[in-house]
Amino acid sequence: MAVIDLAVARKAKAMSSLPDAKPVEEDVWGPVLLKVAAQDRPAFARLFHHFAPQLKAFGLSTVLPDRSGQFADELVQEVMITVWNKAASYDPAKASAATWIFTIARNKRIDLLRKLNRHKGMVDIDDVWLLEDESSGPVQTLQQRVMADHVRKSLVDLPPAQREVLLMAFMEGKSHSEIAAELALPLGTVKSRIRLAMQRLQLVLDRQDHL
Amino acid sequence: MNSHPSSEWLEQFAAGSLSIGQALCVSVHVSQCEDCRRQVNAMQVLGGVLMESAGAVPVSDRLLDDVFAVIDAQPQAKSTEAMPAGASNDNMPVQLRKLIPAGYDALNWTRLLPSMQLAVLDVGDDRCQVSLQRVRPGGRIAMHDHRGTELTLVLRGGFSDESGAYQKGDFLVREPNQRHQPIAHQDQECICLAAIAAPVRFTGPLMRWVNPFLRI
Repeated sequence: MAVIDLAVARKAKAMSSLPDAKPVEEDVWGPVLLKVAAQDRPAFARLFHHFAPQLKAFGLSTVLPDRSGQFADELVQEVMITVWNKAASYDPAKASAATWIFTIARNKRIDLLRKLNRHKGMVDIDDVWLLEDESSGPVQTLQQRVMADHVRKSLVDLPPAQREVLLMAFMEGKSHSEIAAELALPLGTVKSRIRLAMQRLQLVLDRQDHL
Repeated sequence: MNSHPSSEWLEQFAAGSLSIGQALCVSVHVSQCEDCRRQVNAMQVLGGVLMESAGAVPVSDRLLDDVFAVIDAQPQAKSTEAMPAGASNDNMPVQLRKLIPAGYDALNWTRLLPSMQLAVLDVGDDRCQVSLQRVRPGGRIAMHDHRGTELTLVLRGGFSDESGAYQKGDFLVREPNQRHQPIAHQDQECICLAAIAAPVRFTGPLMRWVNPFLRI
């Protein structure tokens, strides 16, 4: 069954080490996106060849209802069309290309799943999960880049069990309780693995966790 | 504002794993709170890095052609979407404007208690019931609890309960069996957005697709 293969693949991913991070991380794809904003088709094709396979993997890791054979390809297509249409609003000062494309993929997946489930509802997914952060200015550019760099490097050293739950949360879109049910772990264990991972990646502020 | 989503809510929001109703509550808070917005941004950076590192699956060459075909078939100039009309929208969070196009008063309110009205919102979420709760100034809600986790986001006014005082933008989580008795503040009515999770029964890997309102 496909679900089992997925779990095996995830485990393999969590165990394998990541490719060595380069010391300086310039976002090479940000400038390419800017060219796409100017309707540059060869630039778009390059971007497509880089991101489409990642998006396909993202789509394939989605838990689906029945009759959803082409979901991953449909997701790739929808995301890349959105990238083309919204490239003009991409601001490299606010997000790296990978971050921006991740948010589009996340939103598209929610939207496509909602359609598969035949739900409409008077809510625009992009209004709830905003693609743009209007408040952050160029000051945050460096922080954003340093943070991405730090995350990329410390992800390598994360215990596999912690990386596994992060992948399930972000790539498979599963809630903590769904992760707990699938791994047959107490909910508290899943939560603490994620919390520890977030702390190691330095993604949580200290003031948090008062609820 | 002093009651924020914990990092686990922010993380599930950033990952896209919250139901739409729950995400709505987090989102309205996040758009009013710089600290939480920074955290969500950081977690989205993690999302991008994870996507890059999680592997790649080859796509067929035809897919790019298909994408270009769709792009070519699109109308050239993308007209910017007009905002729904209505003067009452000025203070309405952007996330709610399509749900509440003509302001709070125009909603279909049901009186549940002498001091409280409720309007169910159709957000298309089968894991949560999403509603607006409106309590008159000083109104007291009877002691109650919930079958599922309840998220509350204060949209207007404020209220107090056993654990503190809450005002516009505050985000609260109430777990099932956590009994509480909110009282709206005296100075104005209180309107809250609430998402109450259906009691979910997990039945297997496709559990999300089991209608949670069915008791199986």
